[in-house]
Amino acid sequence: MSRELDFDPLLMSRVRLGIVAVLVERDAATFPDLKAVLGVTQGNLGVHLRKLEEAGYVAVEKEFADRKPRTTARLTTVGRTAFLTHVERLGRIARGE
Amino acid sequence: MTHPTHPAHPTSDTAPDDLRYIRGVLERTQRRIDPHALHFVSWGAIVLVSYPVMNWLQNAGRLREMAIVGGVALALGIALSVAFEWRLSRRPRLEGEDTFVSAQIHRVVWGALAPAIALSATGPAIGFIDGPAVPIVWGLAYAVMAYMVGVVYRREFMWSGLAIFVGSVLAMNFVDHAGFILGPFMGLGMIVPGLMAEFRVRRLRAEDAAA
Repeated sequence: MSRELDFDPLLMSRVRLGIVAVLVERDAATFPDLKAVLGVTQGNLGVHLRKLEEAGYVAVEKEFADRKPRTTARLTTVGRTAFLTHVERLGRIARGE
Repeated sequence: MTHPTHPAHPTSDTAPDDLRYIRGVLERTQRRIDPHALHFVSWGAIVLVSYPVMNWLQNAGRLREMAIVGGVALALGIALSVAFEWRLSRRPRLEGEDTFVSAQIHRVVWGALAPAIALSATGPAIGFIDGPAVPIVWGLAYAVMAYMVGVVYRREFMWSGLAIFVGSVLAMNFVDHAGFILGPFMGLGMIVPGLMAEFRVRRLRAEDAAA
């Protein structure tokens, strides 16, 4: 039964799922914030964030704050919808529906 | 923290793990807020003591002493707030802190306190509010502030806001004893959730340091 549900391949990765989950809860998160909450390496986070950005799930803003580069990520409507759909489907499978 | 690989397609075995992981991320995200709770605790303690004392002095007709206690309480509160803020500014930011919510709390606090400051400063002078009713204005301001902090941050502040509102309504009916009523309601209404928030932030910092 569960095999019949389509899952978003982008959200099959725990790191990408984690990034989107953080951004669902928060208005925006900087790169170091995401790294701290998810406990991932900088390189790993960068790769997954880029994939989410390319898919239009996340909007990434790069700016300078106190003469230091700062990367801030925000969830897009597409990303929010994809996450909520994914969670809803996980719930259905977990309940054995 | 591990990010295990799992089958390409969630199954009834892996889906609960994924949901647990999401719940864990959401909880970690929600906890990473530093609300600068010592301000709530210090102002709560000041109100808890000063309001009943001022009420007692007022009822005894010792208005000069009452004004002195009010002035000392205000000066002490401001001095403590400045000292806490100075100390907090030197403390490294909570790793992964949600600064957006922290900023919201800041705006909520000032949004509630600014009208109370304006009303208590000008109200009695223009005859809009009687002097003894000024603590009730502050009670209502604290109630709104706590409730709104509860909306943007943690639910315990919301319950405090409701309790302070009940205290303020009671005080409206017993204006001569408003300080006796409002002191405990406003004081404990700020101290209890403030301490809970402060301990939460300290525990999180300790966990970060140990990790």
